Amino acid sequence: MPLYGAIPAPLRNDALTPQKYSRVRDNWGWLQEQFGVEHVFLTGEHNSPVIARTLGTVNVAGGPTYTLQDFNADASLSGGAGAYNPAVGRLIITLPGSPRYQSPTMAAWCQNASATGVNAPCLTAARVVGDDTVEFYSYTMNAGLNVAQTWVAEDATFFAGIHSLLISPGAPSTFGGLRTRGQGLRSADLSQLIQGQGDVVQGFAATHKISGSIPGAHNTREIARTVAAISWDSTNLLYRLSMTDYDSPAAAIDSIAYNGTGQLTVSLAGDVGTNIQVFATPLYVPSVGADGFIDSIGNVCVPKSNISNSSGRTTFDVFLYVSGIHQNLAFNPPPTDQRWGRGDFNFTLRIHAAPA
Amino acid sequence: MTKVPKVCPDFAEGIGYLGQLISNAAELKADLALRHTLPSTDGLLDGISGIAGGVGQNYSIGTPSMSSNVGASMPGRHDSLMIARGLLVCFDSAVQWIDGSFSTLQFSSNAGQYFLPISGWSNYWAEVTPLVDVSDETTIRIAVATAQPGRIMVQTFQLGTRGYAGATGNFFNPWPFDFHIAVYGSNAPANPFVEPSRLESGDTDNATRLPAVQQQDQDDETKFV
Repeated sequence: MPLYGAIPAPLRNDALTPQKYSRVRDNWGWLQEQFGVEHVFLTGEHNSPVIARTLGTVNVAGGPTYTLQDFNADASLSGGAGAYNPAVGRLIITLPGSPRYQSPTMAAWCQNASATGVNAPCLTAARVVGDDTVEFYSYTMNAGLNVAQTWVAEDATFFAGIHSLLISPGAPSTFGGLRTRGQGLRSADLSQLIQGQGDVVQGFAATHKISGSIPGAHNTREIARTVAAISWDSTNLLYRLSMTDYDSPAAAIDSIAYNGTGQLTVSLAGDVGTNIQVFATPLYVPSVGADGFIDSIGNVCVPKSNISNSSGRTTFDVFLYVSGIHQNLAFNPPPTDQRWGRGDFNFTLRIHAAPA
Repeated sequence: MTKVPKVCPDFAEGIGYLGQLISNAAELKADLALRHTLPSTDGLLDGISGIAGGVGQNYSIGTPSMSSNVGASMPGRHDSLMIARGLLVCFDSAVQWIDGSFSTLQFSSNAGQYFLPISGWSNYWAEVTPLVDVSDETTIRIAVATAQPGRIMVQTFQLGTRGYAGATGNFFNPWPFDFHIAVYGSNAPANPFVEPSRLESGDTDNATRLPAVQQQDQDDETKFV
């Protein structure tokens, strides 16, 4: 594929069209080639192992009754409740299998969003069973804070994204035949060029913004609208937005209210709805005790029940927990248990929302 | 971007669209470069330099812009803080699959401790998913990824009884198991977690917009065949 190049300056006897047409043709081919590296040509679907192929919320209500929300058509619950929820806290998502999903190179990310996270640490783990099956396991600590821990499986709401290998981007569009100086333009070539560029623009616009304040920004749920590294300022007792970027101004983090130890409210600049997925990662450095065993781990919970809209802004709460902080952890005499309490530490956020 | 019909009904009309196709190409290239890497383009600025005025043409594209992402080493791949720079799947105490620019995963002699070398990125962090053991689905696990200078340290912990006399109750102990890890990073030369450096919408690079061409090609010397 020729390089993307300058439109040639006109010559007296080759005034404009053949050379200029050919360069335009090559440039559109170049753009399509670049676009096709990590996108499906016509649909614009992202096609990269580092981008979720399907992403959404797994909701659970009393019963328990599980439902999927915001996932694309790839994800489903199949076989009835006993099949997709065979045990407390265990949830099986069914996928269409190869070629869209190919284990073992599939990857899953999950964020426990249980309302239990308001008062206790919660976890969700994953297991890629095969091309068409990913299982999730959710737990919560039910012993209360600052007492000996007891973890149990819990049917929990959680956010999840599932990644897999590249698939075929489909057949590329054609852009007409190459014309050189002295040759005339052909109607069929010009029509192909116009059709081809329309295909490329259509694919790009399906998952990216081509107008607005950030042209080129991603506009699909599978890619985060906002990411942020958030740091704890222990001197001033507040959280700072230390690094962030966003693809939607409304999804930019506007403020972080500190409601007490390990309890925050994050407000976005605008309304991106309440059907969002938030993935939080502790940047807390685990501490190792004198005996060589871990004494402290961070856990971040983002309860879906605490996602709301307030005065035209999407807001959500973040709860941070730390294990074993200065409690019963002296090496001699041996500790008898490990305890969790609220804590403050650095963490990251990744916020996904509906296309705007 | 100017909408051009996908089917050109008339040849003369199609010629008229050529300027819009040029403009759209430049605009799409700028849009694409916002969140994707693009290869070198022979040093040309968006392919539209030097065509204002001249014999037989009347295009006026505007000021060319250069994307900061042009010339990157992984053309066509995404280049955004919002998208992981790489992804790694670790099964059975071995790296099963890597995507991205990682070198490899280093296995520490300490149980449940791994190091992922990182080079060329100023700021980075990682998300890690603990994987449940197929043979023991009741195990409760936590995996933590910590950014350190030049590397990311992964530590994996499993709930169990602390392993020495006198200990009772449950503890998360270092324990090797499978995990997924994705690394997010920026090449921006900033000091993470110290100076707030929020980007505003106008700060995004290569955001310069290119006006659409309004005039049609009226070159009399064009040959139609």
